[in-house]
Amino acid sequence: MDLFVTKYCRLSSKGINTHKGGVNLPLNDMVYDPQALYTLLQLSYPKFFKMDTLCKYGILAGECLFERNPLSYTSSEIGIILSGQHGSLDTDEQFQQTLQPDNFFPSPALFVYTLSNIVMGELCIRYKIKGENLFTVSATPDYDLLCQYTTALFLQKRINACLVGWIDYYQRQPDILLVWVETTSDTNALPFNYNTLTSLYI
Amino acid sequence: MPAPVYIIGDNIITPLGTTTEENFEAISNGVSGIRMHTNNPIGDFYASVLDKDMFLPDESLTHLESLFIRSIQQACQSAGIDATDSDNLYIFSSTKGNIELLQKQAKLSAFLHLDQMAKAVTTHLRYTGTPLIVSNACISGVQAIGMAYTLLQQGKYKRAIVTGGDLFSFFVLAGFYSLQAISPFPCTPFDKKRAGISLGEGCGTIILTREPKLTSIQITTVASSNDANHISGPSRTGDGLALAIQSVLQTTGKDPEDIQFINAHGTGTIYNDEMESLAFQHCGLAQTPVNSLKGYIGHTLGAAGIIETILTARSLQHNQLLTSAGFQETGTSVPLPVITENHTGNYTCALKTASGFGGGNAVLLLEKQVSS
Repeated sequence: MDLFVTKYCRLSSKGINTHKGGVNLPLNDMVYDPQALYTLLQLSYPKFFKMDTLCKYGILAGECLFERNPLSYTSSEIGIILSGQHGSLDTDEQFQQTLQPDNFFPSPALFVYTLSNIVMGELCIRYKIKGENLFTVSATPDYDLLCQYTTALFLQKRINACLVGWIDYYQRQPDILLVWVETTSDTNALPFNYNTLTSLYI
Repeated sequence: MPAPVYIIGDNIITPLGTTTEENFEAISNGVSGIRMHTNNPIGDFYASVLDKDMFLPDESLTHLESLFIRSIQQACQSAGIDATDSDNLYIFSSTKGNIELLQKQAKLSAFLHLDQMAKAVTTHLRYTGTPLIVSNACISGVQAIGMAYTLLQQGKYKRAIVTGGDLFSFFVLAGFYSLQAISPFPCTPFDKKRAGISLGEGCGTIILTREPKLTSIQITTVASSNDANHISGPSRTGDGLALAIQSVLQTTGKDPEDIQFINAHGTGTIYNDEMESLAFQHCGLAQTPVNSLKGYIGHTLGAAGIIETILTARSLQHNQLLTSAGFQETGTSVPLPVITENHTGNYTCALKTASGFGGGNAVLLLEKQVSS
């Protein structure tokens, strides 16, 4: 089965790149400031401000990829397969700070972000993705597995489009690659395979 | 349709026992592992917590890693397979792994990372491949089984060893306490007076292959979905869970009447159980007997989907439905026939469902072997 990457977004400490080229950042260190990126990209999504940093970066990458275009599929036929290393560890550490014996004020608003897959939930809400979903953890991106698993879902006719990628954030370092996978190609489409993902991740 | 996969070995470790048989028997007899505990500053709460002697006395391993090792070894023994075999695919399921290491600043803190935790376990078992890890909140266990099902179709691996574990931690207790979601009495899923969850800890391991043993229970198909509605509250309509259930019914050509019972997620929170009742009704399953096993073992998070799937498979094998602990009076807007007496009969087909934070839902269809 031929699958294609028709859109993508790479967001890391080196900057932001998409299928349309690099996003021009007025300041080099702007990539470390999700709020500034939100303003720069002229986003209008108030939920953004309630999110933890991992989720903010997830939404920013999603917005760069989809550019506010509605997805041309039924919600239930769109899958989302994501992977990361640290999961919610950054937010876990913040929540742990609220659990000191002499200073016990656990915040429910923080606790609900202490799971690896919440960023996937936020992306599902933002882009109305209701199909097959999976969040896996690995030391480094396992693009072979992501391709294998996603392709299997297409072959088993469980999805017709899929948001796939690596999404990691810890100690100020965002490291994200999101790709949009479809069965139809346009002129700029790339084959969906290990080599494509590895070359986009650089 | 993809081929079914078969359960050829399993193990469950909870306060109710260290084998699947011990757990099934205790639950058949209505024994619960949930007890009252006290914590400062939270006070009294109920949870199902393991005795310290359940863990291996090995200082190079965390408690959770030692549970995984014990459970995997016993499951491999029950299946008659070698844990080190390179034909094995290992899939781990955990929501919070070794999260309590955060407060200890301990020398083992590298094992806060799930990948290092899993690697420590497989290295101890002398398996040289890389284990896969699913961390998808409360649906992790069912998802890990689903992932094994999907990957086994390709024939690259002979079998999958799917293991799920989470410990009782102050981190998670404090979190659910802050959400006011800890029940002031042992959790009572689907009951009118239900008031939240009871946390549990444990480990479950299930071994799957495409080549059955004679008496194997099969996983016929799997599906997952997302509510795309709220990150910490279930859908008000149950439409997300209904999507996954309908997908399973459609793929297998089953009618709702073919499903003889459902092992639900049934956490005991007001909103989860209500959402499930709506989803079951939406799928024509409002008359199907249903249970939740969390009144016996608490909510074991990343282990829940695996432990509960194993117990559901045993129900099919033993032709015996397990009761839903804590249920007395209908407490959902769609009344469900919650199982309150141990029934015996000829049971061949069941659903396992799970729903969790992040909006995820996952469903498995289990059957007493129907093909060759």
